[in-house]
Amino acid sequence: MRDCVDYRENILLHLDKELCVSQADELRTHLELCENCRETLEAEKELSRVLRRSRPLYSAPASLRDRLLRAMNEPDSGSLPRK
Amino acid sequence: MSYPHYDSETTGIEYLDGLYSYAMVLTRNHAEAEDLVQETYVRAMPAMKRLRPESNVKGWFFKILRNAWLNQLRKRRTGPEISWIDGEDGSAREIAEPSPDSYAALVSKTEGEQVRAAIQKLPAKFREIILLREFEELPYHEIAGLLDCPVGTVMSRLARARAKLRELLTLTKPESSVGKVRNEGLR
Repeated sequence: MRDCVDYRENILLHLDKELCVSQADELRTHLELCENCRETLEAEKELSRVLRRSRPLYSAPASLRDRLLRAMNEPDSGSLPRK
Repeated sequence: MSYPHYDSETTGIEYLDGLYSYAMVLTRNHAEAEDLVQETYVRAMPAMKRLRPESNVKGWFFKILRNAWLNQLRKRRTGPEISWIDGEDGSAREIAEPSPDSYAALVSKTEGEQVRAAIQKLPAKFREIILLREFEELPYHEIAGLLDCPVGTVMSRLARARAKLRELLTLTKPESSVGKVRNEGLR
């Protein structure tokens, strides 16, 4: 019988869609019975929600975007000086 | 899992914010991040036409950026600072952000600023894996390929990074007995 520590790792894998079907089914069954693991799942989901609301983490400067687009449209213009 | 594969219309510009974010978590410096991203495109653009149709373009761009960063670190090895092996001091490099001009933007900005500040306090390897998984949504095996490490290392490093980040964001750490989310630090 697996305990909550074993399932803790699978909760993260489940959130990241890295579990196979049988593991996901096993986890789902455990979650129905275990309040602690349900709370862990919710806490992990909340962290992911907070992080994903902050996308993109940084926006590239407009000047860099413009420079790159110019270089893509005019590859021989020298708008991207090689360092 | 499907990946953004190469087609003749692909320029890679769609990955610019992601690459810039990756460069920021590696360098923690806007000017260095900009240089690193530019270097990435300088290397990538001539090679784009040689990509096979099944190529994973996004992963390829991120790999180029990481290799460029590692090359820079090797060149700097005799210098005073090597960010790759840094600890948790985010204070040395201040990162300026533009100010918001609406209440909605302010609310969202506040949370975003806190997330960025928390991530920048993490050790470099944690910053990197959080960016690759939580922001870029790369699958574990692809992160493992990018970082040249086993998938098991990705899993354990990501779990530790998330736990540390949760602490920094004042979200409670899931324990065996308590797991409620406290969100005050983000409001």
